[in-house]
Amino acid sequence: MQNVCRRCGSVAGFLLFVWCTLAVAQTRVFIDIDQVGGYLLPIALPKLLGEQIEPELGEQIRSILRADLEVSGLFRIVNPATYIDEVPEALDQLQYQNWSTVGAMGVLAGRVQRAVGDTQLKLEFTLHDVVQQRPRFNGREYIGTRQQYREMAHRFSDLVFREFTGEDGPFNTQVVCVAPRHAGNKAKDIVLMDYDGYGAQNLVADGALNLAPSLSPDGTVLAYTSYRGGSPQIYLRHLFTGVEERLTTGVGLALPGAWSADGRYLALSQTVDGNSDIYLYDTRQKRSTRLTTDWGIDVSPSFASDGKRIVFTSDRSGTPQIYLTDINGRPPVRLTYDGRYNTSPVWSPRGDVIAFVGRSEGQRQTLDVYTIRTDGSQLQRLTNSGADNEAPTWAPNGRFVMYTSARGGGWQRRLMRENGQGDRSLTANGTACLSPQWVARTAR
Amino acid sequence: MLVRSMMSTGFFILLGGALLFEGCAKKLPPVEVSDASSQGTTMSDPRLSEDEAARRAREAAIAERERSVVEESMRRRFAEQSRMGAGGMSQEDFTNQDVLFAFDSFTLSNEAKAMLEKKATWLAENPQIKVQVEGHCDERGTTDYNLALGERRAHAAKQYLSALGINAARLSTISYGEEAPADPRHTEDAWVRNRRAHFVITGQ
Repeated sequence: MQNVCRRCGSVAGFLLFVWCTLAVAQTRVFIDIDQVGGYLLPIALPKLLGEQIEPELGEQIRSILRADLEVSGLFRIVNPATYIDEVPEALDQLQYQNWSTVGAMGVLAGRVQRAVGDTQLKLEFTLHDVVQQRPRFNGREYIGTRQQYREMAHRFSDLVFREFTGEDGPFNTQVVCVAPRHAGNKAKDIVLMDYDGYGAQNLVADGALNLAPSLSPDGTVLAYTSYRGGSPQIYLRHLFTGVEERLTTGVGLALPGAWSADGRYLALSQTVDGNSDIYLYDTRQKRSTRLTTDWGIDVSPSFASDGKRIVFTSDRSGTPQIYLTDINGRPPVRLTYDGRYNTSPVWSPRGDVIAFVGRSEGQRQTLDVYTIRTDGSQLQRLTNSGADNEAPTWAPNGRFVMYTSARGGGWQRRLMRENGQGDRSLTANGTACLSPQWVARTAR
Repeated sequence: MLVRSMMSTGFFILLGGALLFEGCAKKLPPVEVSDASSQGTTMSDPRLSEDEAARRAREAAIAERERSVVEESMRRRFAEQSRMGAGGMSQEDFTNQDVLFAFDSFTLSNEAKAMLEKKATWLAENPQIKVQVEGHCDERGTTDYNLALGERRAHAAKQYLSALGINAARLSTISYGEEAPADPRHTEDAWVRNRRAHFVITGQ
């Protein structure tokens, strides 16, 4: 929109100028998220009203909003040192020219207040469209305990994302991960944390080696593998009741893969007599059926959002490759032919795209995150850092991929757009997070 | 494949001897036909009929009997060898020396087979000992696939020992994938050491 206006200015015809102003006044600021490119929408994020009373809290809330919008790879925060105005007492009465002067196309105006005897917190936000010169929606209020300020801020970030892209935001979300203890200790814990690494809480921390967490879509049942009984078996922990059941009873390796979107099925792999195959556990009928029978390694199943199709890894061809089947055990069809090592497929919640880990050939063979369409077309390498990148997981909105990267030594968690752009680190804070599974936040 | 590899290492002599020896082994007690082959309760496989299960149990029982005969013969021979001071392995060596694998492979190399043959000798000499074979991977590769690969490595080592005549009931397997490296460094040297089958004594 700015570009349109500059062109108008250079022509300098009065009629054209009027037309242009009208056109701009009618155009909402909008980001086409499918667009390939590095354009970042400039947003101003001035001090919140009430920051004087709650300086630390106000500062923290702004830093959450800032991190959310920047990490999306779609927005940039206009440098606060350049601002020539503040947020007025009435949040919807902005002096728009003062913000367009500093190059902002949107302004987040907010107020932080204590509520209900200081134990509660009230946040008020308005999102201004500087181009249209009006608020994009009436002010939003969030009330919660002081501990919930992060969630409240993420909710508002999601709202901003939705306003500018038309899609659900990825910010008020969480990750389930494997958290290693100190080096030399085999034990690993299962933790749940906000997508940005804050607010980590242990789900399983019994001193045993615990791996491969997979949270059911409604957030109530955690499937994971534990070595606590002497061999790696799958357990189901009902998070609200604390009740736990051991799902597999063999001695061979069993790993949960993924839940169907309706939460009815858990696709998993289990080794019987040395042979790993894909099984489907039906939580309603409480029984498993075997989906693959090949003598090769079959592992890492992931569900399509239709709850019927399944993608998994198999080395039946001699090297690990990605295959497609379904809940009826349709004969698997091979999807990947490039490279000698393709594993860890995850089906996009938005449709027929699979993210997976492939070994990139060349002088330095590294693991990298790739995507491919389920018809085998559009193979795309998303990471290229000179170090291993693995464990991809899709944002619930299907617009971002989170993964772990070995660049810079230890494992860090990173985030990028579905096309690999806007790649950023998420490990500035919090607990280490391996094998992340990105999930919607559920009331807990 | 196993037969070929055994021949290549000269073990067929032992095996052949053992099979001949079976003629005089009538005094051996009958082998219990309990589920030596099944590994606890596993998920139902509708494609496995009851007939098939019975057949497998029978075959397992026969294989089991052959193995105990072979093991007995190995034991005698090795006892003889050790009296003559022929090379053996200490318990420390047995648990410290790992069987190594190539990247993304559970195939037993000639070195791996030679190592397993030494271990088989020691196991035959120490018939009271039970071991768990741990399968491990290097850090390169993905978690789930490496867990499955580690399982294959442990299984391959167990199968070979078993084919050499060690009673499979003495050998359990477990995979740790890339979760428990012997060498935590991120170097080629460390990766070589970490792609291993490691032996832990679980009972005697």
